[in-house]
Amino acid sequence: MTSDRKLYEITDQPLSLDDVASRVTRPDCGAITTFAGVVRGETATNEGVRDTDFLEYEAYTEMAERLMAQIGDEIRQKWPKVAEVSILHRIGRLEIGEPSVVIAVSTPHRGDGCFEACRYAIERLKAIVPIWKQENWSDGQVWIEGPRQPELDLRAPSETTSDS
Amino acid sequence: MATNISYTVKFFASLRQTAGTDTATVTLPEGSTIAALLAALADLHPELELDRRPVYAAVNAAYVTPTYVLQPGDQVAIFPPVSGGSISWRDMR
Repeated sequence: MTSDRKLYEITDQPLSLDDVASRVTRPDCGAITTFAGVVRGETATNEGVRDTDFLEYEAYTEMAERLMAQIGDEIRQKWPKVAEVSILHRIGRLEIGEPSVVIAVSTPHRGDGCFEACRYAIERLKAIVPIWKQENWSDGQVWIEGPRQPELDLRAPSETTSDS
Repeated sequence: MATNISYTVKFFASLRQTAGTDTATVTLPEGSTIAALLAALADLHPELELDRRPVYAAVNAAYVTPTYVLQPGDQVAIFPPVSGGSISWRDMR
């Protein structure tokens, strides 16, 4: 494996499942699962379905790559037979149908946790990794914010404080 | 006679766009917490409405809580909740 092919990477270049799968390929692994998150052409909003023109992704790159590597460590704790994990996320302008994130997990055998680990990787990424997307429509734009994670929110009410 | 220390704070996503800049400089007495920094930022950038919205903070590219005590040279960032999906996925094994 060449040194310029990182396992955890934020990039402005197009992503491919073949690329991410090749980063986790090892001679002792007979199983690889992959996941791709792709830009959807429509979004459900309070005002009904809206057609998306394109998405703009932004990341805190240094922190995002560190946290993606942390997710890889968490996966090895939970599924010790996992050999390699790779998570690649694209930033910048993405068109409908293009992958924004690709993930691959390799294990010796398919029963060694590769399916579960791949699911875990995308859910953890969406919960903690500092990446944001801005939906752009023909008549406007909005930053998407995920559900607040109380343990990360500086504004979270502390302990028993009631918020009326 | 506390020494004052300046910190550069990075903004991301909607906070960056609303502030119209990607950084701010905040000067605080030595030993100040992230909570104090956020209060100072709220004064400096009232348009961010930092007291009315969820906000996350990181120091040196790792999440911190409001009680974190700032050290000279700390790289601070504040940002909105990350763009997660709608599925809640708790502690799977």
